[in-house]
Amino acid sequence: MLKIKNLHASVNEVEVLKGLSLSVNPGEVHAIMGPNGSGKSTLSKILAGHPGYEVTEGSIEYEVNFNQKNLLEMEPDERAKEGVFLAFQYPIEVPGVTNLNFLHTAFNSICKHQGVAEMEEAEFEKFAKEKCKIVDMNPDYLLRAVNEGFSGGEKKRNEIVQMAVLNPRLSILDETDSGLDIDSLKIVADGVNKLKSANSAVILITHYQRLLDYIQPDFVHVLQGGVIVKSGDKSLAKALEEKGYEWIAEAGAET
Amino acid sequence: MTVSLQQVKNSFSEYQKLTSLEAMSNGAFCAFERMGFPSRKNEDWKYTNINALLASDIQFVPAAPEVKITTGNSFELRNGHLVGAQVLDGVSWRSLGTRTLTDQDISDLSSISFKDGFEALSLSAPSDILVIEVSSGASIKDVLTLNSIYSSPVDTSFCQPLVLIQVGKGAELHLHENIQGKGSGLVNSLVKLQLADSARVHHVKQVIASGSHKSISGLEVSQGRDSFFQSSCFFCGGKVLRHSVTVQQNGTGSESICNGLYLAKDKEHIDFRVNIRHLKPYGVSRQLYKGVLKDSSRAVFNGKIYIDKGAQKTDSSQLNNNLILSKKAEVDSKPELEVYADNVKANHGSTIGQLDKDQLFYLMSRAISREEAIKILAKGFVEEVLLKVESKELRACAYSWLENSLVDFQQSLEQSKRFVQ
Repeated sequence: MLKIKNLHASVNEVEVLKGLSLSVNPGEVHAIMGPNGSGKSTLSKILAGHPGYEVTEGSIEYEVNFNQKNLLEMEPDERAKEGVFLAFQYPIEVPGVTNLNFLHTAFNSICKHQGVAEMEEAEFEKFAKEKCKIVDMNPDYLLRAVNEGFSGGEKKRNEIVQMAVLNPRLSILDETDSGLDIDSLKIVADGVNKLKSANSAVILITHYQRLLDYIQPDFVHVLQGGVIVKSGDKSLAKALEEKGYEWIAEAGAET
Repeated sequence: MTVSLQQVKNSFSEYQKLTSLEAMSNGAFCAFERMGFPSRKNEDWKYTNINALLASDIQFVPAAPEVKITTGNSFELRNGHLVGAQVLDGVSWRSLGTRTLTDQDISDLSSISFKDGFEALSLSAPSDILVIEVSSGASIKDVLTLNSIYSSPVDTSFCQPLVLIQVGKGAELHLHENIQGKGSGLVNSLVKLQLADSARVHHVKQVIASGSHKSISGLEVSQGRDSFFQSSCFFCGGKVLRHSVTVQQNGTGSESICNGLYLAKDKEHIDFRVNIRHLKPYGVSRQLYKGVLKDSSRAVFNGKIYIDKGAQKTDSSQLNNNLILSKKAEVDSKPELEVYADNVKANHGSTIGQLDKDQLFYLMSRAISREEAIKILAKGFVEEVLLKVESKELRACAYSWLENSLVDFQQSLEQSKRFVQ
């Protein structure tokens, strides 16, 4: 579904990713862990098409419904229409635009692109309210301005509601666990688990192992210095939790 | 050539022959003579050209005594004169034209201290004085409307309505000021609003002006203990619109929410001034003022938060955001903080620019095309102020204003893609 090959990328002319490769298949959950500054968030932003990052080398292939696409050539909205979804680490506040209108516009533009019938406002409101239940979000939040005045936890829940409404093929959750208390973390993780399916994939970007207690990854990758230095199953996350990131660096030096 | 002080004096004596306001108006006129019209050397008038406001002569026209009974909960003013009124339960009114003002009204009005010559002049020769009283404990759920139309074709006309609204203890009022400025001449209006302890006032002022309409308006609010005041001003059109809002918290635990939206096009000039004065502890104030400018228009925003020594635990914030759609448009934004207490929150910020690129990316990452996202963000930029109007009925008024005013801006907003940072 997703093939990242030898990805090099810079922000403000500083190289952050230095040859990252990663393959993701439908139905899989990949966790990408790494210390601060390792390039985790850069990767998520590049996948979503943020204009502030420059890809200097490498490729990202994305396959959906047997169509091969070069993700790097697509605008952010085109990627989203093809099923790419980024849950932001810091969701943006959009004053003056209600959550419901925002979601409705987003939902309909995906429908339109995929040749499915669009939804009327009343029908969509019902549909969206139903989706709020997935993360136990008060449906009144749909009528408020997007993320404005939401607490950190509410913003993260709102991201998952969006994910539920837009039903993406490839979801990238960028530090969705950061700033969440344990109850919110459980609710959000639960929401993500409910949305998992055989034909969609999830990339979890996280600093800590604790999210992985609630969302079971099939693969764990350690990102350090802009490259993936180690991959394994979920036991790798446990080992990291016990021994810290330095352990990888030391182990790497030994071999 | 603008009007000379001698000419103003002559017009004033003509005015005095027709009214019974001697003591108050003499006192105010003395103050005017001392101050004169403000000049651009005066910091408060630095960005607004007085000469553009004043004609070669001015005429003060006092109100006639006839006032019709209107339908609905409204007061009707034409060129600054009260011509129609409807009395609601819990509300009473008196006016200069109908010769019903009490000595107490005059003494309440005389206590106004003047910021500049225009204010002194408005008390020297008011076109009319309307005093509205909301009795203590009255909860007026229906919107009370003040409809003002200015349509004098005469360049020298000088309309100076004065409205004093007293809201009694624990009373609630929803007030809608609806102003249409179509004529020539100058409007110099003042609304004074007094909130007694625990009073709640929701206020929307909307102005739609055209052509050569010029207006200086003031809203002066004083708040008692635990009172709540929410005001939103919506301005568009006219040659020069200058509006100042002063809110003084005289009682502990008052809350003041002052928002505004101004849309300027062509060579229009809008000068917005806000001054929130916290004098007692535990006060809250919020300000959000937004402007959209196109063509060669100009906007001035001057917002001040004053926190007195005794106003500990004040929580105040002020934000001014401007969206500029043309290279020739100009904004001068000047936020000010004057804080004498040491345990307070006071935030202020000001932006002048284009649409936010992080917001644009966020919308695009949700499958919304760039064009559509810009449209949504531009609309959201102005709607933020409308969404903050708490009262449903008043919000509906604001939306109808927006529908009328935004027509001229729609196209520019939608084409504003090159204005994304």
